[in-house]
Amino acid sequence: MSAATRARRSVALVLAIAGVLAMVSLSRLRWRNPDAEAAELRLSWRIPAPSERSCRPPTEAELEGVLPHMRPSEVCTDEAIPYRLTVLLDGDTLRSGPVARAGGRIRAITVYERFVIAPGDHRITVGFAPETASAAEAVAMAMDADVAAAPGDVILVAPDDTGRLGMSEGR
Amino acid sequence: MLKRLLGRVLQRTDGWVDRLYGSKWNPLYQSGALVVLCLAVMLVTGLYLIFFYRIGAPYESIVRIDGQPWGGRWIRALHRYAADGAIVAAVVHALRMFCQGRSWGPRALAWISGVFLVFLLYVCGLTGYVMVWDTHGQLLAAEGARLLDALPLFSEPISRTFAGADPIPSAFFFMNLFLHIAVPVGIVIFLWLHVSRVARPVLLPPRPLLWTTVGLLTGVALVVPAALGPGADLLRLPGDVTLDVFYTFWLPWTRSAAPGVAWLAAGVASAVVVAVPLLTRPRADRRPAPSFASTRLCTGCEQCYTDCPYDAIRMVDREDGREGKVALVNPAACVSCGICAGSCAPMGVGPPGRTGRDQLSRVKEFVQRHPGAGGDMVLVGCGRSAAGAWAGDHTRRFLVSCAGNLHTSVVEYLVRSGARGVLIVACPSRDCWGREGPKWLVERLFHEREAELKARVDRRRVRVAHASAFDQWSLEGVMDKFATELARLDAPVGDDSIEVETECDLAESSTPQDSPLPRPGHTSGP
Ligand code: HEM
Ligand code: SF4
Ligand code: SF4
Repeated sequence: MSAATRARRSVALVLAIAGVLAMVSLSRLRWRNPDAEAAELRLSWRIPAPSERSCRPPTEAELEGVLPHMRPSEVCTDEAIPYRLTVLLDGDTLRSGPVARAGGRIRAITVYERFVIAPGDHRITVGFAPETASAAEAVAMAMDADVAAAPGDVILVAPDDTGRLGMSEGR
Repeated sequence: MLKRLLGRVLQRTDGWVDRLYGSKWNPLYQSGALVVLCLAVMLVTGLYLIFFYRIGAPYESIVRIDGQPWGGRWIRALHRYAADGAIVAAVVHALRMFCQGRSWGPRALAWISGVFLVFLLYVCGLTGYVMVWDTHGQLLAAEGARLLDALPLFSEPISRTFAGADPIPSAFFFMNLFLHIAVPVGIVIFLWLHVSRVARPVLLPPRPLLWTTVGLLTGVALVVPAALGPGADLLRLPGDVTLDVFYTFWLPWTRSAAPGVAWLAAGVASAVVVAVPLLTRPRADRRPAPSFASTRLCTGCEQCYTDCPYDAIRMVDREDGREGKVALVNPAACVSCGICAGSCAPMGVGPPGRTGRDQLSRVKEFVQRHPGAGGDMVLVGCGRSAAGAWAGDHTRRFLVSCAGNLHTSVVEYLVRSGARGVLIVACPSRDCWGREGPKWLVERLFHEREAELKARVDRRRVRVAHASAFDQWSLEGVMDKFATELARLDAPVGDDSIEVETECDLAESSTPQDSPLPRPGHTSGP
């Protein structure tokens, strides 16, 4: 084998190894997630279909054409109870407004909210209640607590086993 | 414009890599087969890993695998690096097809199924990364859920699964594992579809390249273990993450983008890639015409039917009262490579202007126009090969659209007209635009494949060189060597009257005019 061929083969081998190593280093590229410089306030819960039933006697028009033994004594409608969520951070409003319902009108209400918050000590106030005063028996939750958030922490606000809002912190 | 620029870069790179590795082992030419090889490595290593993976404790099981220094650790690394290799090779393969204009017409099915193959490869890779359930997997799952929640697919946000309020249901890891294992079945089906339009697909690289690739990947897997971040913790935002650029390059960008923007970008990019067969299709008047078979000349020998690299020829019953079968070209499957023209002894088949008969008329004219070339070496070659880019004396050069298109009677004509030698320049075998041109050429010249070079032609005056457009270095090497050998032979004596057998009269050429020959860098078709 000539010296030129030997040199060419060596370069070829070195390049092949370098190529594979380059691929491998791109496959393990260190990246610092800037999100982890801050903390995150996270709200997550789901409550089953809160709705309000209202009933009234049927009108003449509704009874017309219905066989006597098929006539209902009352007509009821289920009205979804609108909910409002309020989130305050150190007294400043992060969010205040109605909660959208997933899917159909009387499906469950799911709350899943994320807020970026600066690391440090904070007071967190959360309110989740029906928007109408008439739905007094419906689920309502509230929380007011102090928290010390470190960079990268997730402050999770979620109901505990008794249905009361509580906070868990990542460390 | 983009295609031409990329094509130039590609040809230059090919030239350099040919020079280093030799065109036979140039891995760029084997990119499709290298993807299949990487998939095979993933399958074998995956079968080992699956025995140790636990959906009830995903991260812990990966830590346990990583703790087996003689087994699990490097097998896991090999699995991952093969997955990276598959993406790299698939991108190179797709780029080559794009630059070479092999992306439209009968190849559209291969193009579209190729895009789906890469999509499936991604699904497989991403589910694989989630399986590990380290901080990278956590980030990927959370970001994936956020993007999916923006689509009208689920009635409730699936992101809540990763909120941290409840443990992640093992059904999630089961679904993820199921996808990771089921998607490869889809890959096999799409691969079958992908190569369904080509005859004799080459699914694996040649042995030396195969084992070198496996060896290199294994070597690096032994030395550099696959990355494994800290275990996922849903109540911590992943900070330092090890990304795999080939699969999760998009994470840093999408995390700060609105999901709608991310989907729009992905949608536009996918639409453009899927539309490539339409975007790259030449205008109707510039599309090369498909081959056709003359029922009068065809003797039904079946050679073109056997040789067509795209299975575009069928043998059908004759309807002209003669016995036997006749070749029939399916224009929808024909890419107009012209290889069938070189198969046909009676010169009865080929794209218009490029049949054996057309080539013979052209070479006669060539010899008349350049009588001085007689006593010299004549370069005959594919316009895409080094012959097309050759800067030497063009009066000694005769171009065809593919080395496989060349009819051996042209070689005979040149030798008998007194050329000192005929050097036929073909593209590297695995980089033929028509897939099998160089292979059939060598068989026809030296191994008696129909339409073979007649025995009366002195084989010492015929040589084949495989050199890509920018590999002038190899071409010149072969030319010098051949010239030295030719100098030792007696001076050539031209025949007074050259009667090349055409088995029918020469007057019938397929078209009155030759179709334009491809220039190097001209990539849309012959
Ligand atoms: C998992 C990924 C892929 C694998 C395993 C693969 C494999 C292959 C193989 C083995 C061939 C046959 C080669 C031959 O024998 O000539 C082929 C042909 C082809 N591939 Fe792929 N491929 C992949 C992805 C792609 C992609 C992403 C594209 C383009 C978007 C693509 C476009 C093509 C085309 C157009 C052909 C036909 C070439 C011709 O007929 O001239 N492939 N592929
Ligand atoms: S090679 Fe020629 S003779 Fe043979 S089947 Fe094809 S067209 Fe007919
Ligand atoms: S030109 Fe090529 S693809 Fe078309 S029939 Fe001939 S060999 Fe087949």
